[in-house]
Amino acid sequence: MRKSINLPESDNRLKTLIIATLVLLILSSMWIFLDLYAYLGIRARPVPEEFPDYMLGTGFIIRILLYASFALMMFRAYKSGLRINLLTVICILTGVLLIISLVFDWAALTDISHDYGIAGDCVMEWTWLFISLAVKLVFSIAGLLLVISMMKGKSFATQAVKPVINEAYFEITQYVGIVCGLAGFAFTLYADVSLQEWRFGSWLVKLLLFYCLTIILPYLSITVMWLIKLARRDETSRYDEKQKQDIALSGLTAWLASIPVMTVVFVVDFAGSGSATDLLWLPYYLFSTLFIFSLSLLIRFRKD
Amino acid sequence: MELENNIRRLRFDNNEMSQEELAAAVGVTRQTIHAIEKGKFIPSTLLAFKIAGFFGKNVEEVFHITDNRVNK
Repeated sequence: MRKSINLPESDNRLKTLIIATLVLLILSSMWIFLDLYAYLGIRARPVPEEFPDYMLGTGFIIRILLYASFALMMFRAYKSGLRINLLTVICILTGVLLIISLVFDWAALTDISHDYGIAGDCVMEWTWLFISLAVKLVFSIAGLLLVISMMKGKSFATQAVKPVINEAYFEITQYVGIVCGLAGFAFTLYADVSLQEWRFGSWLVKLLLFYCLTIILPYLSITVMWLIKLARRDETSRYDEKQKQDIALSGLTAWLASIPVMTVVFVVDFAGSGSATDLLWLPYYLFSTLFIFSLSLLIRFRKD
Repeated sequence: MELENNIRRLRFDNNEMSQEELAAAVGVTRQTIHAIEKGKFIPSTLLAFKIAGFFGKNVEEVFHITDNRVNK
């Protein structure tokens, strides 16, 4: 007998996405162990002759499909009244981190394959790859639990009325922002500390900027999605009054907190600076944000 | 001085209505209704009228100011 999935409003597209995500999650979970086997094999040296190196590439394709399916499922579920709980938060945080890590995993494996011939240890690359595996495991477990919970209809709000302003999207955006911001800050700090000798304009510095773009991409994507929804009038209003007040206070906090943080970075960089521009970025930042903040505040205060 | 309210009691008197349902009715998020009920967020005049109007009450019947200094 065919058992139907208990989902709000009998959303068939959501059902399809949940099943696709479940299949990809199971496949991807298997690949965690295949990757572990592969990493241990490569690291042991020499690589066993029968080592199936194409398996690593296939794992990447499965991961890309999984994250795409998972993201679409979450957007669809959000429209059906997805409730934000601990499981959802874990999935969002680890999911965003793993989307970012796609590029970094690839880079680490490329570095290892390049350094393999010259007997490089690649300690940082291996550390990253094993941390990435651990995050994948957490995502797989949390993802499976979330999918099962969705299939049972437990992750959805039981309200009969569709909300005018859905706060799930607002919360999800902030979680994505937290992961992207923290990952970007950690990466920039690592790059700043470990790559001091590289000259400005070198290929590696350009590559670092590409990595920074990769890190911010999930947040940019979710913002673009939000703008598309606004343009299509799926949402009748952007924020409610408490959200507007929270955004205003958070904006002020972000600006005020960024000044001492940037000053610390400035002081650390002071000794190694080579040109005037290296030092002038702090006054640029300080005066431009002060100007924008004051102008924006005055216009809003004097408006009407 | 603090702004207190009877929203929680009014919801329960109104068929044990959920915060989500009230939020949808007045066009805000559930979190905003929760914050107003807890006294952590003071709503705008417009929202206060919307909430009172939804329950068929005057604003004064839903919201009232308490002066803590009087009790000290």
